[in-house]
Amino acid sequence: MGIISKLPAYMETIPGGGILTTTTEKLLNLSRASSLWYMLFGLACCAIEGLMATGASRYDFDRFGMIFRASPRQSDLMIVAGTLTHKMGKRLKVLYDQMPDPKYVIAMGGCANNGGPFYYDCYSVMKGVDKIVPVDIYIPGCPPRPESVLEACIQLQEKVKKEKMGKWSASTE
Amino acid sequence: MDSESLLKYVQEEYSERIIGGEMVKGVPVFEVKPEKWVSLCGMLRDDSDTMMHSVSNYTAVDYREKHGGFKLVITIFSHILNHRLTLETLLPAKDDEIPEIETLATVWPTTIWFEREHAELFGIEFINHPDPRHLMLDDDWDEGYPMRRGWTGTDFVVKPDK
Repeated sequence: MGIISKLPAYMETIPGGGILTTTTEKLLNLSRASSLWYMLFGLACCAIEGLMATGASRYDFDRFGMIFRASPRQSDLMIVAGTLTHKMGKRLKVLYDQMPDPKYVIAMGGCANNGGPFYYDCYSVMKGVDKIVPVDIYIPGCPPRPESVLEACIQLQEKVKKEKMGKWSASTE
Repeated sequence: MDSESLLKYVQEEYSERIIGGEMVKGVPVFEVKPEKWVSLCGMLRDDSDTMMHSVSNYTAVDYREKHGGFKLVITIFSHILNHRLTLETLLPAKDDEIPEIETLATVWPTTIWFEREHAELFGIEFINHPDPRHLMLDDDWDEGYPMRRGWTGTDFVVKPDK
């Protein structure tokens, strides 16, 4: 059933198959949502849970169409997994700017959300990724379970599916 | 050499370079004159009775309120003779002053990174340091020296219950 169950569409059955009508926007949004390639941005222990355990066979990120890319120029999504320092913040901004629009950011774990355990009495850690790049989904946890990462991706896919074609670069609004 | 005889040996042999020595939890600890810091370290490395070829730990402490300056603390170890000792030296500094001392990189090259860290976090200047860049902080960091007591920065949040 695949695509028919996901797309609100009109289907007419004819002998030997059917004719499916829908809008270009919905079809393209479904395609984008089902092929969110994410950039590896593992900074700390969250990378073990969010990028390695979730990407491996037990939780199997690939079934959502999520494939990791080692280059920002090939990715739609950046999963910031771990503690972001001020020094690394500039590098993160450079990599984020290299990603093509439309682009999305998931802040994974307490450190990426607001500094987490490094919020107090710490001179080096940035108090949240959203200080420098716009964040679409926040995942709490220290580190979050792989199920949380999968749930965040489902939420992000829902967000992508609802977008209008003219506002694909929602992250830069 | 065991700890007691090492304590006695260094106190007798290098008495003009140290201010005092004592045994702390089984490790001899010596207070060294700052101007003799590098020469004493070099001698302890080259002396055939000490042979301190290895640096176990090298750190700095902000003692401006307690002793009126920063302390450099180094723990050195001899793999050949299996003994260790700790050297301390006090660098007088008040408030925002930047104390200066000759670099130890000429004695043990492994101290280059330690001293880069002390320079950026504590604000201690190491004269003739071969690589005086920042080690951990950003290159254009301009908010002072974060490991000094009472330091605050723009993004710094003090824990409320203190």
